[in-house]
Amino acid sequence: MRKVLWVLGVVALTWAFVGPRAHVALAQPFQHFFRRSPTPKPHVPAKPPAPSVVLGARLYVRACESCHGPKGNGEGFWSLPTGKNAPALTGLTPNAASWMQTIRDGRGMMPAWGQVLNHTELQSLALYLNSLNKPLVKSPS
Amino acid sequence: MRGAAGLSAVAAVLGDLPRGVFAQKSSGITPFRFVHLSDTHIGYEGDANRDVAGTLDRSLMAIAALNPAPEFIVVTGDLTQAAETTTVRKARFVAFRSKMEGTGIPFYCVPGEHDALMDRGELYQKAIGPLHYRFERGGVQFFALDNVSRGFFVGDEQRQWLAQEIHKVDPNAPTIILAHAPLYDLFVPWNWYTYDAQQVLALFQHFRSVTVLFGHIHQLMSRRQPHVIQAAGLSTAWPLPEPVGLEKLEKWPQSASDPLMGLGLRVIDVGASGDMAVNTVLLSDERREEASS
Repeated sequence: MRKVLWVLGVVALTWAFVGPRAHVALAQPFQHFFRRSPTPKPHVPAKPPAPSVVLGARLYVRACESCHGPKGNGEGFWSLPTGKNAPALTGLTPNAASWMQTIRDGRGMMPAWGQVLNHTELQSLALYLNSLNKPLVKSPS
Repeated sequence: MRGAAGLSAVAAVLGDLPRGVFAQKSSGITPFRFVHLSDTHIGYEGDANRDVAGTLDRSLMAIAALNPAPEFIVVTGDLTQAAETTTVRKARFVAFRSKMEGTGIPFYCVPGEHDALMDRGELYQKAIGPLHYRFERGGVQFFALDNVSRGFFVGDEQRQWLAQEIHKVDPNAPTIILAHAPLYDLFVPWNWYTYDAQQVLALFQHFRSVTVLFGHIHQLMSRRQPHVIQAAGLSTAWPLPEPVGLEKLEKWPQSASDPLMGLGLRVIDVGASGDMAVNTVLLSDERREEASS
């Protein structure tokens, strides 16, 4: 009987070391040494993006800055074909509906951005334009 | 201008357009030659070029001296310099047109922002022709696009037209897109880009090889993507600096010692296999050859 148990023990140990799941039996107790922290997955918003000043600022750089300038004062990096500067976008009376229309349909040499921008993007640009025309908070001094 | 000197082989012979880009296919291509002209800016008055009509004349003389002669000329925009009044603009279009017609060589144009931005291409269409169209030559498909008349984009309406036209052509045939502004973000602060270029090129993604010939930047630059090669033509009016920083785009005054510096055109030979050989003709070289003869 003792002999049989001894043989069974040897077989079980051999199986544990060379059997098909030997790597699991041996490595599992030490797995925490090798485990990497899980890779964070990107957050995918479930809803389409809402209009935002941040999106507007990003679009402004790509669509408007060349002519209207980084400060929106009409001092861009590219003159209009007539050699003039584009109008300043600062010092305007807030009028979101009118701005939206101008951005979408264009006016004079102003492009009709409605050809390539969706409603959210147009609204975002109007929000950014609004932010350029907000009075700055005065410093206490 | 001396005979074959027209091809003064300053040889961008595929300096930036690698040979064989069209070599995969193409049966049914009749070899032909055409010329790529750009940014002639007829009517400009200023220090960047004191005689734009003269430099266009020189370019046309160089074309007339080519042997073999080109079958046609493509002009990628800014044919005229913008002006405040319609009368002046119209006169400039007429001047451009009469010069081109004087060559006796057929020509195809696309609008530049100087031609079309102020009235969304209305006058251009009356004076020159449609803003966008398609034609075929020798087995090669040409798509002439307008990426300036409403802003630096192609836009929804034209993309819809393009999607319909694309279904009518063989995607294995060599395809050339003519446009004024590059179909990639070359330098956005100077409007050297097309806002919806990716959407436009996505329509051609099943095409075997596409070449975009553009103008606008007044210098030789190119970009190679897996199935699209984009190459700028030279201006006949003035060269522009390459973008190095966030500065306003300014023209240089024309050089007194080398007034034709950086001006020229490109001669493109399409072979039977669809491959293209590109030679750059520099007007300053032409002038030196004239002086030495």
